[in-house]
Amino acid sequence: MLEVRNLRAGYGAVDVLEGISLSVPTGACVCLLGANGAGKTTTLSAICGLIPASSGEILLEGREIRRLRMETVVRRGVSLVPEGRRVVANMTVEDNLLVGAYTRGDDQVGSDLEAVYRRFGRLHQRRKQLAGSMSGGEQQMLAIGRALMARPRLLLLDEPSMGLAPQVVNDIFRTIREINEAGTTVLLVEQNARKALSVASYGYVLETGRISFEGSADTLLKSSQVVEAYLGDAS
Amino acid sequence: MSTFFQQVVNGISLGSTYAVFAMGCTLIFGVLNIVNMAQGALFMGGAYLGLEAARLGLPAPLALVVALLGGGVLGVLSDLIVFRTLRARGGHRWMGLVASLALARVMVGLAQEIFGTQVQRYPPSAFLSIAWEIGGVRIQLLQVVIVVVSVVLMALLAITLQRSSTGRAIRTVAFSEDVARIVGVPVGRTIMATFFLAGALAGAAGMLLGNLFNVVSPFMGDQMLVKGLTVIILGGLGNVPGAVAGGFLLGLIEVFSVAYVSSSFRDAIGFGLIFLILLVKPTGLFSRVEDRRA
Repeated sequence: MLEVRNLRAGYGAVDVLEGISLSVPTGACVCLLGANGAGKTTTLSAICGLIPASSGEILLEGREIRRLRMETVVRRGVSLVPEGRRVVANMTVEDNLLVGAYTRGDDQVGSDLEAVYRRFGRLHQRRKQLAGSMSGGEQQMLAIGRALMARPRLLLLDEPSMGLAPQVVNDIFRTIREINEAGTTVLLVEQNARKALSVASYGYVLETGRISFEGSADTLLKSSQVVEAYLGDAS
Repeated sequence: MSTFFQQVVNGISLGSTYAVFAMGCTLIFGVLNIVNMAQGALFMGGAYLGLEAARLGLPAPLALVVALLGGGVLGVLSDLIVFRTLRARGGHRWMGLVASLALARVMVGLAQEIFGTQVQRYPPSAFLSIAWEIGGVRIQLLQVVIVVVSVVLMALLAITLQRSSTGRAIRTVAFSEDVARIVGVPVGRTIMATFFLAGALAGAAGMLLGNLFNVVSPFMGDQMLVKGLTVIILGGLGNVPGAVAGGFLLGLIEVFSVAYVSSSFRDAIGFGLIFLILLVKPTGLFSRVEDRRA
């Protein structure tokens, strides 16, 4: 689905990513782990065209998407659930979901809206409320629902557990697993490594702009390097 | 008492044109946070376009469509010429103020060259000069038509913003351009669509006010821009219903100060009252903290 090769990207003249390569097979759930500032968000932003990549290749189903604008990347089937959720606080829940379908011209937006409401009953209850009035967990569901409204084939999730209560985190990860099992390829960025490796089958570890380690979820869970750095005291 | 009701009628018809113009202003200044000093020139442009269309023999409704679409196109041009260029270069928003001020002067200069500096008038219409006298209050059909057209434009804008895909895109861009990009909304095109809507409202308001006062001049936009700015601050920046209410309020204040004080003090009283209101409610009459923007 997604092939990233020697990607360099950053903000202004400084590259945060010093040439990273990763691969997300169709149907898989792959996670990208790493400490704060390692470049995880930068990686997702560069993949979807939110920030320009200075060099390297980003292939979506074999086609180069590196120089495309984000609106085009969304049309090609990539949706981002951004860090911090970024729902439109002064718009209703339903309008937030509908703007997620902005790039679509087909007539199935209505039935997809119903599908999101079936998945997240809370969003249905609160569909006329302003998004900013909801709890963090509900806003995270809304951010995921909004991304699903674009009918992505590849879903990028940036720190979906950030700032949420443990029970809510469990719900969110169950949802991610369900979305993946329903056929959407997932690339998940997380600081909560143990949670991420419970849904992902493969993982990469990012350290100051480089991939320092990669392997199957089992390998990562057993690697002393990963356990010490990212799993040591976590839940 | 009939003087009082006469002023209410006059104030509502004048205020409705202010409201239409102010809705466009609040979209640009409040929702997009762009300072477009050419908004008044679009108003003037719409008045002339409607006038020329009427002189070519187009019926009034079609002339209004010409003013509406023409104003919209001029709005898009002001985005293309000034704001898009500045955005591409990362220009500061005050640079937009200076550049759009220059654009406004160019448009006023062009209008002087093309149409002359003399005040011009719409062709007389026997139909629109029909008037009724009810209990000493004179109501012209023209006033009724102006209010009805204004209300229709308000409803169309509300539906566009609340129910259409473009309206949701505009509100998303207003909230955050990054969030708009994330969901795949083309930011540049959405800003351009907003300029079209705001320009169309300015153009329509120009033709409406041009008919109400039966005066069209190259300089009519200058004062209107100041009134538009005042009204949107009164209504709460970016608040469309606030702009409508503020427009009607300013219209009423103006006609009442002319009737009961003196026409020399019309603007002084209008702006003075608004200043007093803002002393009491600095965020504008109709703004709520969490729901300030369209």
